[in-house]
Amino acid sequence: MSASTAEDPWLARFLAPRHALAECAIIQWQGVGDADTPGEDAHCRIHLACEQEDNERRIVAAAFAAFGPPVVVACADWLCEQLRDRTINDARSLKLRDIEQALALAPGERYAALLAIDALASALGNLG
Amino acid sequence: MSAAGDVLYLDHAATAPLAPGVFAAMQRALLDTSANPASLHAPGRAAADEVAAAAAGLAGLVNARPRDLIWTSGATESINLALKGAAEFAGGDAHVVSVVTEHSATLDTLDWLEKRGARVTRLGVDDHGRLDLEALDRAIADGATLVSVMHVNNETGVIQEIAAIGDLCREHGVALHVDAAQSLGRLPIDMDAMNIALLSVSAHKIGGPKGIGALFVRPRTGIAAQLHGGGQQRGLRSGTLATHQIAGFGAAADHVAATRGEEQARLGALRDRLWGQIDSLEGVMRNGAPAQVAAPFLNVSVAGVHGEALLIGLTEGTPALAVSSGAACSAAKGQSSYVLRAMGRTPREAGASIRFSLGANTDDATIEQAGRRFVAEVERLRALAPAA
Amino acid sequence: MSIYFDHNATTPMHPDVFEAMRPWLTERHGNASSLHRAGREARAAVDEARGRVADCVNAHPSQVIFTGGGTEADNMALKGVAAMRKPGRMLISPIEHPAITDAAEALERDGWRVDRLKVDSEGRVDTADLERELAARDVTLVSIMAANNETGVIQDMAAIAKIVSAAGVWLHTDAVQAIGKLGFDFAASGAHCASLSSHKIQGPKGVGALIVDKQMDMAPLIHGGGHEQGLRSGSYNVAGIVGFGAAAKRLMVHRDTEIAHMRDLRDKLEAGLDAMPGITRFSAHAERLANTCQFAVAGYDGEGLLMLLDREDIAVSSGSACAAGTGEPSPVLLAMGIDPAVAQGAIRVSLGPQNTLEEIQQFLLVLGRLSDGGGVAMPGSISASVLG
Repeated sequence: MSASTAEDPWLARFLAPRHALAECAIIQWQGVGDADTPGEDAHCRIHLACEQEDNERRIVAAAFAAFGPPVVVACADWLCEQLRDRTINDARSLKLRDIEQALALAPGERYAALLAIDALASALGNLG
Repeated sequence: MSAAGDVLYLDHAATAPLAPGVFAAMQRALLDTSANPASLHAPGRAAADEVAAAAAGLAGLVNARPRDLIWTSGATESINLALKGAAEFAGGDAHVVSVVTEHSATLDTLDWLEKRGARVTRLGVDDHGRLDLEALDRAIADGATLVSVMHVNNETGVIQEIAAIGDLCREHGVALHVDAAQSLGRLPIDMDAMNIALLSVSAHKIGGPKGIGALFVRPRTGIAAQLHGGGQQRGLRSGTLATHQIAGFGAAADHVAATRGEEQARLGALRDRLWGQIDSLEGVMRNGAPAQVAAPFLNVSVAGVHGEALLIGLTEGTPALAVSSGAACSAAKGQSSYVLRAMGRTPREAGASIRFSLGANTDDATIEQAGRRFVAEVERLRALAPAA
Repeated sequence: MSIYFDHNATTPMHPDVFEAMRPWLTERHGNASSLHRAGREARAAVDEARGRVADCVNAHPSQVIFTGGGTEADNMALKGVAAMRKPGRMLISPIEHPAITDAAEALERDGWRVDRLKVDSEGRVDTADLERELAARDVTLVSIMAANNETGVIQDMAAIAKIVSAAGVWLHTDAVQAIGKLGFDFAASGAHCASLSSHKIQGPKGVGALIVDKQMDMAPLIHGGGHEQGLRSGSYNVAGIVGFGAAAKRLMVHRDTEIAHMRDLRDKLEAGLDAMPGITRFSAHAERLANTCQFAVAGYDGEGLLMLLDREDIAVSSGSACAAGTGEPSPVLLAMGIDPAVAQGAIRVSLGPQNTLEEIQQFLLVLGRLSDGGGVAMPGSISASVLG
């Protein structure tokens, strides 16, 4: 595990995430996707709620559930924040690097971004 | 109240704030008796008197003679000196019998000795962290030259039966080294009655300063010096004595000698209250049999939360709860506790384990808030986790 | 009013250093290896001090390994290098501090060959001899102190480093005395490791450092926990290290002024001594530390004279504080070829920045009176005229 410090940009997000499933009022999710690390030391689940708008589907809300080191929670939370109001195509364009850069991840923390991206891909794939 | 104002400090096993009287003693030695205690002149003799007074107080705490005491830079050096010194003295026959749950100062030194050709036997522990005396008996019978056991484990607070181990060593005529860094000032120690040949202690765990420790060496115990030069302390440990550190250690020893019984009863009651609060959670387990754990310690394993998330959540959230998972020494390296794994915990259980260690500045309010904070953090993290 | 002339044994702590240490002894007590905030603050303080010590000797902070003092640093240099290799050969000067000579003897017991280089009658290492000894190409490490604790003699480290590095051999230097009274530039010195001590520069006792070039492969002396890049385990002596850092920082600001002041006093002292009959000054013609003067008074035994001066409230030394009380003549002086009978009479005056001209005058008066009593005449008018 990496020793976190108060300067880590993801620390505040871990301590007070804004997109945790448990605190989310929306009940009708259209897509849910999971990803975990080998050995199941960390697990990320992304929930998506969408609306049809003109001829595109747009994400109106995203929420996560996560088990793992603080950085896993932070990556999932950041990703959910980015997803709101994106079209599906737009959501697919979010990349690993976006999370890494936004949260200034160290090389040893990159897996947490991958976990979130994988969970998103799975959730998008599962959209009914 | 505690370290950084708003911090709930429950990490006294890592280090404790100075006890009353310690700072004054150190200040006096730093500013007034600042000469080199090895010097022959009057200022040097005044410094030597400070050292002698501290030695008398500390020796009294463990029923040893002041002249059996060797000052060191801390328990880590004491343990190194005891183990390497005894092994060097034993020469090619050296066979050290110890336990897998020892502090890294012991384990790393044993690895080193093994590389240099010494025989090392590391005994396991049961689910409660206790050493099996029959296994110890067999290992000693196999040509042991030294037995090394820690009195109170630094992570779990589990107490080993030193008196019984001392009896075994007496029967076999083998020397016993005890790492008493965590038991000094918390449990009674009697080097004579417990048949302890070598005893390592540390000041900063009992409210003394960091950077000073001692090794007690009973007469007719063979050890070879590990730090050479100058010939201070009968040649067993050279180097200028840090008078202020020693004076601080002496004052801390005096303080615990006067307060130990009452203070440990108080901390035990607070610790039990803390467990009462935590026990309201599902899926928590107390490590070590409660009757065999030293009063200030509470080590719990928590199911359904990630260990790093729990520790960071506690220490970084508000109010900050300064606790640790495993020893401070291994925390920096981020490994799950080998002590708990040796007690049969899975890596995940061992990973999500928290050590609370109480001390002088722990009061009812600290415990109340710490318990509430811990329960809330566990519940928060469990709510974040995906449902199965 | 007592006079303290024993600064090479130890220096009184500077009040500013004490103030820098104070918070780390009282309200800020975290273990620098703990992950929580109190621990990180302590860690940050340790690293700030590391930077100051590094700055003071022009090294990189990552090259600073904190130890329990200069003796440990010296031991670590020799034994740490030796532990990585099969026994081979080392070279030391014959005027090293006992921390080096005794560590060398310990290595000799382990099968190493440690040869002592020649010094001249002033105590300067014979560089031609060094070249000859290195010619066999079997030497692993050379250890030569930058400035001697007894005579104050300064070695030509630049010339020595050039020869040693041309031979492709590691060079260690004990810079404990040099840092405060001469200055020491690790990067420019050509040495691969150097020992420092805090209490010789108005910092606290019980802390020192080994500055290590990362190219050196070195084993730790003290195992357990893996602090200091694995080279020195044990809980950090946070207050001590902070004090060392503060002393190093203030030294950088004040060293030149302090050296000038001490040199001025020392020159006046020596002018007074030179005007007395029966005085033999050692290393009088060599470059020496600005604060050190070692001499013998005809008809006096060094320790006897020390005691007589002590009764007059004047603290001097009869050589190294570490060897005090042995009654043996100084091995340093014997290595310089001084007649043992003369060497037996040696006392050392080592000045500090707080000493005054009045104290020098008082010392000369007392010494003159004692010389009278010892049958050596010394008219008071001589010292008066010298001191103007």
